[in-house]
Amino acid sequence: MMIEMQEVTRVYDMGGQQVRAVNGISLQVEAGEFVAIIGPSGSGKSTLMNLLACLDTPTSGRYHLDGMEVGGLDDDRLSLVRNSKVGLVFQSYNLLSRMTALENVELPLLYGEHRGDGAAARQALESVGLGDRLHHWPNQLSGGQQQRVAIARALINGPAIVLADEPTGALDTRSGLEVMDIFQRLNREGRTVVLVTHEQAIAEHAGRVISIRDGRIAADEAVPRPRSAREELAHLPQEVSQ
Amino acid sequence: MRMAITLREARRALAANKVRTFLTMLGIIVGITSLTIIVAVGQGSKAQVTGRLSKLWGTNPIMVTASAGGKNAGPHMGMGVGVGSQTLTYEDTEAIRKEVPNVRAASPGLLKGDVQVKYRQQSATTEVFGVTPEFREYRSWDVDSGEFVSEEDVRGLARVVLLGQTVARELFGEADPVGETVRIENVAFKVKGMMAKKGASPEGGDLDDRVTIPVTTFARRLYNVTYLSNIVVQLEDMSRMQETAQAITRLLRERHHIVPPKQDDFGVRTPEGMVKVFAGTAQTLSLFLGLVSGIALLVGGLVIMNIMLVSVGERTREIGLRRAMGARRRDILTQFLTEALVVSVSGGVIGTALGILGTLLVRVATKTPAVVSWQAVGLSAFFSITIGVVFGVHPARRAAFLDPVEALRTE
Repeated sequence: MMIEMQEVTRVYDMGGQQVRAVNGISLQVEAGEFVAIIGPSGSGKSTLMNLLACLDTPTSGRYHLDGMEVGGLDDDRLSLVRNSKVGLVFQSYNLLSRMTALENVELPLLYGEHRGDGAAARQALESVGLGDRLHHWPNQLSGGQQQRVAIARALINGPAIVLADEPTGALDTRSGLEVMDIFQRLNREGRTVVLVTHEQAIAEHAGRVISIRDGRIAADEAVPRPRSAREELAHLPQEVSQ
Repeated sequence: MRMAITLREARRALAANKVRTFLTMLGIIVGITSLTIIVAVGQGSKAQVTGRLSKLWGTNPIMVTASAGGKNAGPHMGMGVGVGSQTLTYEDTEAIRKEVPNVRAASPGLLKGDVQVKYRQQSATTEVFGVTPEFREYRSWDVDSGEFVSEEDVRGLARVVLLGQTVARELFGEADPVGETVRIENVAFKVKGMMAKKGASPEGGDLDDRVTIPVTTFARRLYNVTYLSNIVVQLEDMSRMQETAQAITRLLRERHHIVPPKQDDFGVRTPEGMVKVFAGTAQTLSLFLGLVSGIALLVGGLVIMNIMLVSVGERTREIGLRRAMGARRRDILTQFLTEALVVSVSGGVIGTALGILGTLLVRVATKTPAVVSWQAVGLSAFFSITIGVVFGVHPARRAAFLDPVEALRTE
């Protein structure tokens, strides 16, 4: 079992008022699954995502990631877990503007236990189709390209799970599908992928969709026939620009 | 390797906003520049004082004076005839020479200020020194023309005198006084020679405004005194100066029957002690300028702290991202502390360079013997690093303790 949550809650104190953003969620994700978490804003899916990413810790309940209890870890150990077991992809890419694509991909190596050589980052960028953009600055890349750099960065430490938070939210249809195609390929290669989105169409690329409402799981269903981003791309009308 | 990357990132972060970085450094630059100059000028003037003192004081002997000195150490160091106590004697000189270890020689001396010296119609008011031939060597009293007081002069109570340059000019103008006769307190003295020019004393007195006669002549022919103004003591081993000075003090207390709480009726002075007294004024100046550079450094540090806090605020999202990528709090702390250090140390380097330049300018402009020393550079390095750490810690800690979730949410 890759992810195992039992009765996890996360309570915020908002000016004396207790807000239960996540209110007793139990969840299991097998290694190699592609899961989409869907829900409207305010449903608690972002809080759940932060918990899954080890950016935040549960108020109560248990969370095992890759066989490790995350709940009781101190800040340093939690940082190490984020570094080695979680590959995060954000809606707004979050590349550092003063670093080249290659340096951005190498960033997690700076904080890890093992140091990769330049070759690993290069390969990661090549695997997302940016082998010819290694030394470009973020502002020289399109949104889709920047998001692919971010995916390469998420993969550099060989994480147990790839966690993507609205990864297509800032992209046009084609770039978004290209990104989804990469996630689907990673999943085919055996990677566990968790995708957080509010778009049903994007969620349907996953093999399983979990709906969150009011801090609880409202539905948890397998997708009989997931959409293929590759096929959708093939049917998209050709554009002049890349 | 990791440090190299951290440094590279700090450099880029600072290079991204050059004007701001420069302004951040400005306080440190001003502080370190003034600090470097202050230390250089301070050390230069101390060397100058020491140099002047050895001219005045000779080859570093111990001087025993006929008063405890200290507070009333005026131009005559409180030891002129009729000024100090009258208990220091020739016997004390002999006792020091014979009983105190490490003493090579001890010579008696007398002096009196405000003495009238006349040559025909000209007169001058000056100091009279009664000396032995040893004084010439001990106190670096060089002779310009003629000869110094000799052993025979002392034995025979000879009425011979050596004139200082100022006295000679006042009495003789440009004429050569050697061989002429002058009257001191209406006693006739033959001018035996002229002293070499010595210039001003550290406290501004004229070292050339004096005349020198044999000590025996001073004591018996001129003033009829049996006591001494001072005893100059030469040592075998200079490195044992302090213990020898203490031995002399013990001996004289015994001889003068001084038991506490009775005060010493003599003083034992060493060149180290004198350097301290004369360096006092230079130190006061240094202290004031030191305060100025201290304030500049403090302001510089506060500027660094403020700008770093602004920078942390602007880069909250970056900090959140780094935390999400696995940076520990201490990694973030190191990163921002490194930036603060790069700013302060760069400011320190620029400040030191400007300080060296400034020192050269001061030297040319004011003829102060300012010297740039490794102490000045070391002090600058110490202060710039300290300021970087002290004022960088607060912003760096603020960055390190940001909540990653909150930080990532910031726009």
